[in-house]
Amino acid sequence: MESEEVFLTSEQKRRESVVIRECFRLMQDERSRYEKQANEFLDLGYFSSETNGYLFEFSIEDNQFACTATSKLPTGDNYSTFAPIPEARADQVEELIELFAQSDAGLIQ
Amino acid sequence: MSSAAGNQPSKKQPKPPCRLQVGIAHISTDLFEKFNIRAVKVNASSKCNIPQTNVTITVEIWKKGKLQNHLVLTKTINSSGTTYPGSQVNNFSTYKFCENIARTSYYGVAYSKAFIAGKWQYARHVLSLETIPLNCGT
Repeated sequence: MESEEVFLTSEQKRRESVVIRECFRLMQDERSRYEKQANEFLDLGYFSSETNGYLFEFSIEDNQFACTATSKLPTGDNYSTFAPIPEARADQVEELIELFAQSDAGLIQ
Repeated sequence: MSSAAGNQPSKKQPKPPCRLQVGIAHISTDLFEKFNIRAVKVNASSKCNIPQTNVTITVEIWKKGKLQNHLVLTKTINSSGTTYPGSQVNNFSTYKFCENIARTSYYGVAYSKAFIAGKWQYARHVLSLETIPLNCGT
């Protein structure tokens, strides 16, 4: 198992563990809600939500799923995520479930 | 703005004011061993010795294919405020959960831009020093 510690402090490693575990938990516990969101998004081509002081907007850009996160605080970090769109609808739903969960889990800072 | 993936600069070159670094693709040992969670992750950070604003760092995770390589995920983080000399701006949030344990080779690509001394400065694409095979199909 390869690991890389060069960039992260111990506090950042702790935060990394917390965020990724939370994302993993959300993908299981919130699966039903995320599936509904994914199907709504695939039908309409757009979905938005608000969590943890961020506005999340999901769309399709350059043949990829796109998630743009805009902080409600003027000094907050903004971020975006792009993921290639799988061919099968079932795989598309799985990809979106992870994008929703990553958004809700937050950034590793 | 300069970019590097761990290489030492030539002795004749002046030290660049900014440095973008990207790590190797990896699976967190801690998350796997303690929680049986597998996710491939690439970290990147930028450090400048002059003030900069609106620092944007993009990290891409790529996997190697037989005919061509495939983009797995792209994450861009924009730090809207001023970053003071010596401070680091990080993109530590680019990860993708493994779907299975298929042996797959991954590498990271990072690039950045920042507003420095009144104009936009761009760091060219930087690749991970190594392409690492991991037990992680995506």
